[in-house]
Amino acid sequence: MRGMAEQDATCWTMIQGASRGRANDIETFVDRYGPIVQAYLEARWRRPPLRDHIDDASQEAFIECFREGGVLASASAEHIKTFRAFLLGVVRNIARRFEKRVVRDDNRERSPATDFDVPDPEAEDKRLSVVFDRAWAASIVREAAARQAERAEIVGPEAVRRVELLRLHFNEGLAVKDIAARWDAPLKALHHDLERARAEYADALRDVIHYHYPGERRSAEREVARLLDLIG
Amino acid sequence: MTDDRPEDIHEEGDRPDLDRLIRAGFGTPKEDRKSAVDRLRAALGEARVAPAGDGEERYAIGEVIGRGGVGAVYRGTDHNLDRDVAIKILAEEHAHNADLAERFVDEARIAGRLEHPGVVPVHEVGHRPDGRPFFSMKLVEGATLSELLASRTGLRDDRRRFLMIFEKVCETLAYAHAHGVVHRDVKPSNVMVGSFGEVQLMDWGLAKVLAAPERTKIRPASEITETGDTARGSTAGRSETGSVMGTPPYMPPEQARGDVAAIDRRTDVFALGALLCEILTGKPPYTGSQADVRRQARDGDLAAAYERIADAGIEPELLGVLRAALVADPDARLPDAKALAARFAAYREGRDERLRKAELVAARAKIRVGLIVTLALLAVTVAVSWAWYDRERIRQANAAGERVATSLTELGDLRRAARGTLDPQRWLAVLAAAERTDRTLAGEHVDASLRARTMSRLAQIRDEAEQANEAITRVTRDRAMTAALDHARLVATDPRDERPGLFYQDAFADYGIDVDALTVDAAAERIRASAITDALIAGLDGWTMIEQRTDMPRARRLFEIVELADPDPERHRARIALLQGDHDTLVEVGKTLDVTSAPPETVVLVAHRLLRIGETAIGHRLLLRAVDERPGEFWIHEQLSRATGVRDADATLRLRHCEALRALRPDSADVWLRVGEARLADGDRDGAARAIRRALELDPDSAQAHFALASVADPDDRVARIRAIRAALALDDRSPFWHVDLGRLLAENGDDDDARAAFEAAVERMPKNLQALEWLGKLAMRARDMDTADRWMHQLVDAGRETLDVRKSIDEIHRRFGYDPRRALAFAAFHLAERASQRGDLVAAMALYRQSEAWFPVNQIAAGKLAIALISIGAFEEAETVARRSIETQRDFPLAQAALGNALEKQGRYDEAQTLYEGAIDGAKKIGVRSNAPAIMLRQLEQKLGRVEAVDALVGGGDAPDDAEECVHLAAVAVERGHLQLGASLYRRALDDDEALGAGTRQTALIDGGTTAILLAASAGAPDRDAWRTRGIAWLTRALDAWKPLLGGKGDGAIRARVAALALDRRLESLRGDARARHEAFWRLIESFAASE
Repeated sequence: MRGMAEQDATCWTMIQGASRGRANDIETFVDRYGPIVQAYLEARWRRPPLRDHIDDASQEAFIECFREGGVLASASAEHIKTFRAFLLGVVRNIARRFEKRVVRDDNRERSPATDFDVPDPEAEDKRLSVVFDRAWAASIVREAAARQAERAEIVGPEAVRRVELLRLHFNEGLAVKDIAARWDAPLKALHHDLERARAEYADALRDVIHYHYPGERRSAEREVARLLDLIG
Repeated sequence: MTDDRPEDIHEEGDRPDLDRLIRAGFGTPKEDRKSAVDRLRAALGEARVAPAGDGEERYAIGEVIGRGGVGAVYRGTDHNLDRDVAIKILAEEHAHNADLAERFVDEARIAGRLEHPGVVPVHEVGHRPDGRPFFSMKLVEGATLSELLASRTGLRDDRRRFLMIFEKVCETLAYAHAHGVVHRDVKPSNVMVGSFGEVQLMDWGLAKVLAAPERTKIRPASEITETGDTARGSTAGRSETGSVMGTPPYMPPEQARGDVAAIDRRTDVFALGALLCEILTGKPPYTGSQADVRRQARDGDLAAAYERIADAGIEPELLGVLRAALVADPDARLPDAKALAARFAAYREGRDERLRKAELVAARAKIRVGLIVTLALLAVTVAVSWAWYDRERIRQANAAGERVATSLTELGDLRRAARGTLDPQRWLAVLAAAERTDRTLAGEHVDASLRARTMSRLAQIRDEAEQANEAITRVTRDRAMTAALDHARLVATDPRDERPGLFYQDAFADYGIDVDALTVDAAAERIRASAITDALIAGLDGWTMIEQRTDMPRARRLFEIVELADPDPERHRARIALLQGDHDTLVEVGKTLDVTSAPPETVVLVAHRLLRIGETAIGHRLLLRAVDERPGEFWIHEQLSRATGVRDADATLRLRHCEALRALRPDSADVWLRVGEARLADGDRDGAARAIRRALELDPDSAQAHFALASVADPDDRVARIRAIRAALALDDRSPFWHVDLGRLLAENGDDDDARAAFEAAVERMPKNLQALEWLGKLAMRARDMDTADRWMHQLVDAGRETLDVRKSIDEIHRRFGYDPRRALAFAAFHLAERASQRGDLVAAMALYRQSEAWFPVNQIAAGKLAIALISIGAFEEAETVARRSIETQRDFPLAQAALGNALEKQGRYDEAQTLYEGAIDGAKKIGVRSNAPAIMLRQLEQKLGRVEAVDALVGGGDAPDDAEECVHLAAVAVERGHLQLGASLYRRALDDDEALGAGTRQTALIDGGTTAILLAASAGAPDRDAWRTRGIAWLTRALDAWKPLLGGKGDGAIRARVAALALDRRLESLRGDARARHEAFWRLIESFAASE
């Protein structure tokens, strides 16, 4: 039971809840993974008529997740190594299914008709897989930033200030000395704070990765390496 | 729990990697950021770029009229609006200096936010084609104070005028300081004196916003370099560019030393002192070579300045003002310009008072000296020439008698002309003539009887004049009071405006009727004793009505006073009816009032109240009857011109009565304002603008008129509307509603910080202002500051509960304020419910969902969420009722349809549920909502439908499947279709083999099986009831044990919500009440989840 409990503290708690029809978990699931599915489909279908089907396909991808007898019904961390790969598989299948249907309908309506790209399937799959992974990676690193900010709110104003320091340095592109001048703060102390802020971000990132890859240290390590590759 | 988090993120060794992740985690790259000008343009709501080339250019740029450290000011013409403007453009040499460009646009930003007559309004900000930022502003024609001072021939020339200019600069800075802005470069060349005497403080390029100290930087004085001349090529100082900051001859030491932390409002106070020093002594405090000036400024060496001041012969009071500002130690200086302005005003008032007294003394002395001299001369003449005069005495006496008689005749004529009037000029003429007669008498030899008669006559006339003077004073006071009451009555057109209450209070107190300090009897006595009793009573009635909205005890006190002072029986009936809420009596009075005999005040009172309680037809008819009888009665037209309670279609009618008001009082700014409002309501925006401008001409300090400008501005021109409201607030910042209007415009403009400040100001003035609270909550949510959002939403909900217990009061707010708070309150309650739900506090969440739905019954989201919460506690039928209620209000709303479907599904009504889910999917598409939940629910239901047959077979005696997972699915269908015994048995079968179950399915089976077993045990006729109850509790206990270690983790809220739902679950009813003691261990386990929070 304990093993189950530990796994339950992760994304699988939410996934299982959603698969059992809990409305709140379904909403969380869709919120969390919706943008990734969307990014994949938008990259795959850049023109009409397929582009008009992105919303429907996205919905079908989620239904596929929760279809009884489908992958999620029996899924748990024990069966699926990474949920990312699982979701990519689902969305890819759905996309293919839609493409067949739309080509069929299109042929019926306007023969002959193929006004969407027919690229090299293997290269295209690879490209789309990268798009999906990038969207996934972006969601992970942003979630880590959000988590760090959430924690900082609880820890206190100094921690909030450190988050702001990271933002100014990495997002605004300000040099530490410029931030020191702006805040009228000693440069050395600010360098120290920046180190601490980095460590706090790393800690938040560990938690997020743990949330998505429970109990799988090697997967997690690989994931960090992938994140670095993908973020570029 | 073991820490199996990845360890490969090394802060030290792989920092570049980590930094890449952080950079990605923190969002948009630098190149996506907007430039400072873009941001400013967005903030001002303007996006025009003014080209400088041929053809389409908006501005023609003329000669340079000023040059500063960072840019030059040109005279220009705005072709679009055909007006002359001043255009300030960043100097070419700074075109690529981002820091200076930022500071340059900061100047426009700061000047743009200061809405004050002493600050030149900024029209537009833009880019030149070469990328340099510019801004256009009002062109002020005139001269700088520096030029005016230089043109003096002597130090005392025009001193009063220069001191007046100084006072206006103080007032402008007092306004800037109140808005957190420090100018940092106050000097004579930055003060512009317009052709009509208007005084404006220019060049806010070095200004600093105290709330955002990082926006400007200050470098040590050693880095200061001087470039550029000040505007118009003068004189005592030049602004330091590069980074800093001010002009040395006018700088306090902290600024000269570059001590950034010490720069605050007191820095400007010093500069004002320096400016006053130059006005009084002809020179700024520090003089000499540049190096000398800098040294003196850094050291705060004011010795030479003080010597010059001491030699200038300045009066002690003014010297005190100067010394309170011009002092090196900031702690010894006055704290800000407001304090300095007050100190100077006290000096000026004292000076004026002294001058007035001196003039009086001089006039009296003149008379006295004249008399003494005359008498002395007369005595000498009489003594020396008595004998010679004796012969002539009788002839002279006759001639003198004639002169006295002539003088008396003239006096009599003047007296007759003045009698019966209260014209102070005429009575002054009478007194002057009496004085002349007196002097004539004193200088003449007249016979004793004529002298006695003349003296008696003069005494009588002087008494009469004295009485007239008293009457004039009294009448002047009465007129002022009447005007104040008129103003209070006239400004009360905005139904939201509570301030007429304040106007009434101030007016009565100034008139000597302080209703709080006096007893009811004494106040009533003073009203009765006044010559304007009717106006006072009408005012008190109006005031009572206003206080009735907000302060009932005060309204009662005013009612007692007015009742004691006013015996009019009709008004008595109307007041009683209103105070007691006696609708019928009031209607009766309205219908039967004899408008030919009733005083107009009575008609107005009754009609006003009828309109207020919604009896518009009767109130309106009463007024129309009255206006037929009294077409020249101002207040009846006034009442008819009000929008309150009269249909929109009557706008033209209202306008007609407004025009009547205008004809009756053409010089009343308040009346012109009313005309403007009526024209606007009639769709004549231009006419309305003209009327409001006329009101402003008549009363430039009318805050209401400035506010009204906002309503006639182009609705899309938020900047103009914001400016108008700010100008109004600068004159009178008491109305919470004006702050709310300002806040809304600012929020719509994306200026959230200023909007927040405006809404906070509204709440400060009216803590239960629902609109302000709503906006503050929304802004906090927009800033993702959820704790603050919660705080405001809680205040809003509390205020709503207090205000809106009765539906009638909601309607009243809606009608009066044009604002329906129900949606806002429902939203706040919904927001708090969602937050409670996230925390797992299901009880609070459900109560708040209910509250939200109660406030705004068409709020389907709250109803839908409430239904879902009810489903989670097994209250399926109640959930069904709530969801149906919601659907009744809007059939296609997807959430309510899905919730109703779910409630029916749980009751085994699958076909209906299926239809509803399909409806929800279609509904979501129709309204463009991306909602995947109904589709997922439908798919899950379809799985169940596939099992109905299997369940029916089991009911008919078939064998249960071996597969444990399948048993769980079948059990759910069996229970929902009412086969409790079968469902419980299937759960038992699955849980007997729980190793075969997935983790999630096992937990579901424990919870659902547990509740089913307990429900079965409680049902009549069930076999093995005790065994099922024991089994059910054991299953639930296992489920709870599995959850316990997860508390405090990521899924904490979800787990708490599930346990809270279990605690409230209707299916566990048999374990509560008297039975609870027997199952204490189970309940303690449930409670332990809450306790561990």
